[in-house]
Amino acid sequence: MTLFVFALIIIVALGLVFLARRGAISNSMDDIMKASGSFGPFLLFFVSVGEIYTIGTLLGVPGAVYSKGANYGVWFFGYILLAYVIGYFLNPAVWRMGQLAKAITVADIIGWRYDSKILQIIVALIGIVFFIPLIQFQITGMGIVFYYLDLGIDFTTSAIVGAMIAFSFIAVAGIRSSAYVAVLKDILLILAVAVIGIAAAMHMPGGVEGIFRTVANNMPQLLTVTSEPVTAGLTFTVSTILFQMMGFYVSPTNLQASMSSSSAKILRRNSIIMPLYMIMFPFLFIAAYYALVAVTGLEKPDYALLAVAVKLLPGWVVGLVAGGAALTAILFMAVAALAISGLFSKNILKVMRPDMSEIQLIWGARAMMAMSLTAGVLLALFSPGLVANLLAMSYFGTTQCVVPIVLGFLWKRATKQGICAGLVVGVAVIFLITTVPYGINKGAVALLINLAVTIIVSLLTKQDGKVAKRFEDYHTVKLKNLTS
Amino acid sequence: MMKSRIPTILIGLVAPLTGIVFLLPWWNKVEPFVLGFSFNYFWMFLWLFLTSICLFVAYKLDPLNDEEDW
Repeated sequence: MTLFVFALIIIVALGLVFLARRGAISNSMDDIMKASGSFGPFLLFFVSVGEIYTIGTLLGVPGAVYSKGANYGVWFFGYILLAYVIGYFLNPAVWRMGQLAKAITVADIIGWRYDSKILQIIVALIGIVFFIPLIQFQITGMGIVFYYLDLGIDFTTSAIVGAMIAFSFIAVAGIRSSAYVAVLKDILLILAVAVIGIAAAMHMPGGVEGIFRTVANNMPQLLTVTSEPVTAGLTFTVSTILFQMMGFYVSPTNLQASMSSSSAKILRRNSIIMPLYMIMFPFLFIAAYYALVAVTGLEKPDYALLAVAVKLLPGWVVGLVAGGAALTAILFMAVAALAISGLFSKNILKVMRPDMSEIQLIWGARAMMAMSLTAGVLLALFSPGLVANLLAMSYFGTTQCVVPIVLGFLWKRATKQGICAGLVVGVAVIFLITTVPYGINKGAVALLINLAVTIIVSLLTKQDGKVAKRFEDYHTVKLKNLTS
Repeated sequence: MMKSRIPTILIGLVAPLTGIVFLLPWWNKVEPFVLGFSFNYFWMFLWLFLTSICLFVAYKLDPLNDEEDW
């Protein structure tokens, strides 16, 4: 029964992808990457949330709470919630700059603002390198679902089949498929998580309070944020929240989702609803703490949510959970591969070989999609990493782009040399430094160094007239005067 | 030329940041339990709704919504 429901969900999703194909223009890069900017509030909402709640949320949050308690629980909850707050202010500004730059990717925007091809390539490389761990982590997560639920498919097969389905999603309808499948996947996910959370509360004497009381009595150190251990304590939690909330919307996929909006106001309005969409978190936490109390001694913490589901629910509901989980993983892989391929073809291929035609670029993009998915599969098979660590690693790099973007609308004096130097030094710091005192997030330290280097080098170099003009344009140009 | 955006920033940005990050040492406690949750989790889940309300009010006050391209 579990397998039947699971297979049904995957088939329905594939059907949706073919539906999404209507209206798609397969030989236009703009359409593949951002549906020609045609998404109104409804699809935009789903395309953006569809990329937020990944298998990392579903398995990672309960797993993190199961192993590290509130320190990690507060981290995940806090950074996502505050990212929406930052997004309210940041997204419309980035969108506007994107309109002026006729941008699809984060590298387009930064490259336009500082009028630099080298910068475009640097930003694209950062996006590609730091996004592959996210693909890897979807595959690892999917493997966990298959393994734990014993669906009769081994890890290698599930990884390869998952990557192939992800590829077919984007090959058929680009980002449109993501929007359509996201609707299905999010309904499933919220239902599944709510059912697991409610079942956990019903099976515990005293309900939700019973669960939290038991934890408070037996393992109080897991219920509140503690200062120990230093590497995952209070300073780590707070610095990571502050760091990741800033990086959230400049990551290649989330930024690309903003670009598919048809206006700045829609982005602002969406921000109002986004926090409510976190409604699955209370249920995730209930399930996680229930697991701590009732399903002790799990081989891997990431099994926590599935273990609760298997213990309490009938097979077909478990199938629903598994289908939702696999779909989430596949969808995110698809969107991540799409973003990576956009960075590669638009910001590396096109910049190095300006004479390439759009069709050639699209083929370049498709090859990159396949390559990044393959890289993710290989990494997941041969160098398994902890889910939470892979997420943190990805943020270290992609968040460095906050400096060029925010200075892009705040500081006229920022020069291309300054921005380049800042990014390069920031990324170098991530690779060179291994530990940071007091458990401060390494990426946050790199970001501050990045900012300092950017400012110093900018002040030491001469400002280019064209770069200064782009700053002026951002603040003055009327969008309707732009011809498309 | 434009109405001030400061109230928008205070309500939409400073308030949620304060409630979740700056007040963390204060709300990071088990007692009292509210609605079945330990105080810290109750407080976090409460902010899920409060953040949405803050952004709604910020949106209503936001002078940028009167501008065409912003």
